[in-house]
Amino acid sequence: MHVTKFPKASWIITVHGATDGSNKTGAPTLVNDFFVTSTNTVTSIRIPKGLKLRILDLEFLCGGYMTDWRIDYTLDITAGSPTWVPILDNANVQRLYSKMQKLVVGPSLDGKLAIRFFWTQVTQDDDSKVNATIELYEDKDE
Amino acid sequence: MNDLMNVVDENGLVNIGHPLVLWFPFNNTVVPLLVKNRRNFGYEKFDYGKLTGYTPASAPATAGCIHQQTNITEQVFAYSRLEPSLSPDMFYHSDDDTVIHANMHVRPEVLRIFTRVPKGTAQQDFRGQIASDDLGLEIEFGYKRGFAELVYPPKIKWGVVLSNETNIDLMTYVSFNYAHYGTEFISCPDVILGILKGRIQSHMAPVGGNVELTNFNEMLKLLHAKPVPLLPFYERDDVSLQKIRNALGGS
Repeated sequence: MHVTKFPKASWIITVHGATDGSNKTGAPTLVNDFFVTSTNTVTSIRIPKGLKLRILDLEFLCGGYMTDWRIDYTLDITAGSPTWVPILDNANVQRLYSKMQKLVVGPSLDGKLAIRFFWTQVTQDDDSKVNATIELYEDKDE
Repeated sequence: MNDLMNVVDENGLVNIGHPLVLWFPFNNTVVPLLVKNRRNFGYEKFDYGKLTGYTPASAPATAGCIHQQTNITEQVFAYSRLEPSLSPDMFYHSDDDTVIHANMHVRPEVLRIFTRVPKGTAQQDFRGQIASDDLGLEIEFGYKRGFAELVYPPKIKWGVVLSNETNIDLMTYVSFNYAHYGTEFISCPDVILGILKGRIQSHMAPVGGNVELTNFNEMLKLLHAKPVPLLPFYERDDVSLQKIRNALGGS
């Protein structure tokens, strides 16, 4: 007898963020059509328990001034002050792009794992941007 | 191109002329039905859209939005274009010899999907622990993500609960691939035996979990059907055949 077997869950979205022009460092507010941001802005992405996250495409753009973009993770987004650890840093752009396709975060062991983008500038501007295509997914062997 | 010789099409819906086997886990019986026709053949897509039947009580009170770290209340699929008696739950029906088969796709696919049959009951349990609504965010079992198969025989209501474990208030988008079947109960013991032993291709769809269905007998009446026990594959055919005949009320 045939039974329905659906594909493993996979949510692919493109998020956009930008520096704010007033701070030399910060996590950009991320936007996507599925994000309802009228009350809560999105500056990080929490990965549900058992899921992984991978970056399928990534673009860091510098505006008027040099911007050091990086990707951070934390093991506990619920902490009052989460400890953010850099995964990728565009201080060496060539290295960043060579590793980008292999970047997998997770699986989230307890549903508290999260990532964010983060900028550092010597002089602030409001037109440095990050565009990333992200997949949150159930791995095929899980 | 859809190959009608296959039991199901590319959307997982049963092709005309093939058996759909409703499986009721609570009593481990099946009801084998022949799919005689599909009213919407070739037009299976139903873009339901945002789950606007749900509006959060607190801000952002946007219809169809599920707040971060929350469950929504149990939902059915209302559809205002239908006449008032049908619009509150667009797949629920009381039509005889009819089954609606809806393969649901819930975006974002990270949301947990808990199905409830009969509506209002958490039927998935692990050794007595129920996957109840209030545990929707933290329970370790009893949910799916992205897709769920909903099969609506007459008089059976499904409810759906969604949970958002992320830290983002998320808008929902629901779509279906559905088929509106005209069915006929398969009453021939030899054919049922062939289906249950895997000699005749069929599609088996679970209806509910471990909770007894309300309206089960009414459903059987409207399908002109009798439940048949699932049989061991290894059992001798003459033994199985007798069990099927007994279930059908024959000798």
